[in-house]
Amino acid sequence: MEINEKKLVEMKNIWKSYGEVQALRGVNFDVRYNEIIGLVGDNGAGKSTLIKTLIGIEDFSSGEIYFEGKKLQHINANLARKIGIETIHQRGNALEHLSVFRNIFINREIKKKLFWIDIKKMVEESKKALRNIRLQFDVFKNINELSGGERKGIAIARALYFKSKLIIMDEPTNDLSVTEAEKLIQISQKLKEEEISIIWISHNILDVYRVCDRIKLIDRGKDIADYEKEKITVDELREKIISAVRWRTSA
Amino acid sequence: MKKIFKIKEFGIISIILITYSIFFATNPLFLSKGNIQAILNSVGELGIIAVGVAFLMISGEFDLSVGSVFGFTPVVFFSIVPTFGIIPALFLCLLLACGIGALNGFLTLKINIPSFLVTLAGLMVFRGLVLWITKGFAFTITSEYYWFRNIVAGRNILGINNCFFFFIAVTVILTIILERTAWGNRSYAVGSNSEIARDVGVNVGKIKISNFILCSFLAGLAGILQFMRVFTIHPGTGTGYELQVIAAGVIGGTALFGGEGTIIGAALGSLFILSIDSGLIMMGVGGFGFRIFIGLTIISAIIMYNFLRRART
Repeated sequence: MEINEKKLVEMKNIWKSYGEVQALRGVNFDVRYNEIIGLVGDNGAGKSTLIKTLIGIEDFSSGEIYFEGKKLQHINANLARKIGIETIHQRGNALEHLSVFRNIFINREIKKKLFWIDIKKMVEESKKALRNIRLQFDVFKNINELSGGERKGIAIARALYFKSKLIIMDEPTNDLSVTEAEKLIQISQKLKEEEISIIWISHNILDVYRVCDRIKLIDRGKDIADYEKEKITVDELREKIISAVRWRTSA
Repeated sequence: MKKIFKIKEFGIISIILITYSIFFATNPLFLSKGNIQAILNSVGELGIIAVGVAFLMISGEFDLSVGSVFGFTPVVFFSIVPTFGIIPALFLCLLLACGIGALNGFLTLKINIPSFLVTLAGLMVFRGLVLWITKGFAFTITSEYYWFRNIVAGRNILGINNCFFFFIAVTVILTIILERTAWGNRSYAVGSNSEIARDVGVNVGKIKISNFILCSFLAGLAGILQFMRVFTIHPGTGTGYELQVIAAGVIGGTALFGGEGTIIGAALGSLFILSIDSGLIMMGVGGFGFRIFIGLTIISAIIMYNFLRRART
């Protein structure tokens, strides 16, 4: 599928500090429609902080964020989901003690009348959502009975079901087996076909290079570079990241 | 076998069956009509508090002030009835109990003081207020309360007082809320992991504060029910209940740090606790063995629930 040059997300001149520490220094970042963009950088580069400001978990000191051309004023986690941003956090998105179907519909429960949730429909729809990404397991199972890959699958199924426009994956292959990581990469390509954009944050340069169309490098809260994949090799990319860190440590 | 283990109340049902069998084998009168009536007649108030505390614990918080709120509300009720009349006084007292819950929730969620400490302070403050208002004396209801007393605590069905049926009704309602409403779903979510729940957009503060309010409301309601049932309110009424209801919840399968548990489990847990006293006396052990037995049961229950958790997965 062709990448649409129009911007789904545009973050302009984002500044953020934690007390004396400047976490983001005027970062510009954008995500286009139907694109998988890699966000790379060393530890403490500001990747997670940038994402947290986008989904409203952290406030930012100054700057502007646009989603589908509309300026976001008071973004929070709930609003982010409502406008179509789903995040798969590094620490996980699945609630351990809840069953699969309750996890898929958490905070967006299907209601029958008044306050009652429609368990039957939630179960049926959960099965459908999982089938959609070729996953099949008992939706009554508790999350703590599932593997890391299956847990990530639930978050993706949820994003697809609720027609998210952007999925943010923070270190998505970290706790996955080789097979599960491979499957996730395939699913990510399928999501792109479904016209969902992805921000793929990772230290694993090989995965990033393989899955992403474009790669954004940030370091010490600054955006360093933006590479179209076809214009850079994986070795060059690795070298760019290392040299950014080398420059910082020598400075 | 795995299917049986998956029944959430399997643990507490096993505990009850085993202990009841031992008590019955030791003294068959344990399961006599009179003794069962006596147990059911006394379980209502403790059970109502226990299910409220379990609801709160499932969402990952504690309330140690329930015993004091249980004692405080009827004292206020008794004090204001002459001015307002029974029904308005009842509503005002329940509103007061809700206010205490809201304050506990506010201090925990908005000021970030752990609920253990907030409600420990509440335990002392409200017990102190009880002693201050009563000057250490007991109150007894007078004839003007009798009509109300007959409604809320009369013995109308099978010689069992209405408090027990209130307890059953509260258990059913809370079970439905917990299992079949978004509020219940989100209560499990915030108890399971409040950070992840917040990430997925759940309003953690709203859910937890609502549960604090519910918990205090039920403690206040139970206090007034007991006052009506036993005619008298002592300054020490409800002392130690906070730990008994937490024990009831834990024995009934409620996880101490949230995310797991059922209302029926906590209800059965309180039935178990109330049965122990009577069972031990009938075994000839005497009431002093009560605490030892409960302590040992808590440890055994936790070991069993850990085993069941592993067996399920």
